[in-house]
Amino acid sequence: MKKEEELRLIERIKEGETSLYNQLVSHHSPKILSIVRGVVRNREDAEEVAQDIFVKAYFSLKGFRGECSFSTWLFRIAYNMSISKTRSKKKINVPYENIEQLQDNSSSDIDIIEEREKMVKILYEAIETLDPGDRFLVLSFYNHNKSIREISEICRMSESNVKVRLHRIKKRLSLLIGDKIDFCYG
Amino acid sequence: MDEQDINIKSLISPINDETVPFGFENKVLEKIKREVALRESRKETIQNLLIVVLAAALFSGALLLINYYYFNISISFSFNVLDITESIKGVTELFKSKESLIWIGIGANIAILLLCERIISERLNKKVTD
Repeated sequence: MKKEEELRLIERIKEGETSLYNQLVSHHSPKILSIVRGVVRNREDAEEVAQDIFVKAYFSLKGFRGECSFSTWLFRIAYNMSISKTRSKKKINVPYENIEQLQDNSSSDIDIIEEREKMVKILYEAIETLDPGDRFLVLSFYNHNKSIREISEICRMSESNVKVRLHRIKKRLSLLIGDKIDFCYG
Repeated sequence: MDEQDINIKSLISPINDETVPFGFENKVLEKIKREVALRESRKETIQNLLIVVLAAALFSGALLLINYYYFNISISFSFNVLDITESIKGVTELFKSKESLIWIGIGANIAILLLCERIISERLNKKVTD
């Protein structure tokens, strides 16, 4: 959905065509579910939180003035609600085995595939050790291609603060992955 | 993004789960409907409370006006126990006056009429459903 199209849709919803809201839900639910699952870790809780995010967004739609993209605005709600959820729930570590394995058919070398699999596991476990706010940052930046500026708007931090936090996380992740990356990528 | 970022990004992508469970949108719309109904009900309760408070204030005001222009009973708020009995006596005297008896009669008639109307309508409804 293009930005102008989305803004027009939001205006129509604000004017009373509330049945159109399911189009926004369908369009944004994959990304919202993805980021919330990454932060909350429990699948059932993540789906509950994702539903609540869209409900809250619906009732707060009048406050959306289009200064940022709807996705950024929605991510802001997602950030606040997922962090609140993690605070209210005991920390759960989801084992790596529950995550679908990536079948990398691009390389015929079994060693590379196995090593890559190990790297993904190490990275996953490293992300598990991060606090929820940092996990949100990492997943927004790497998985959802949010820029530093967008992340600063979402998390209500300065851009420099976001850069510092990302740099710290990246340093930590790189220490764990280390030179093994060169093995995977030649 | 530098090379390190690209490498981390490629390793992180398997962790990304964008699957949407079946019926997710419907569950969201159901929650919205429930929330709308809850907010309407809360709004109605607040409106009813405001009406009751306003009615009570108007009623009290009317009673005070009637007292001021008609009965002239002085209402004081001293906590002397003996004065309380005097006040009760004053109020009972109010109800013993001729004019008060007329208003009590009118009020009692209205109550009886309302009761009869209620009984008749319930019996009629019962007959219709049978």
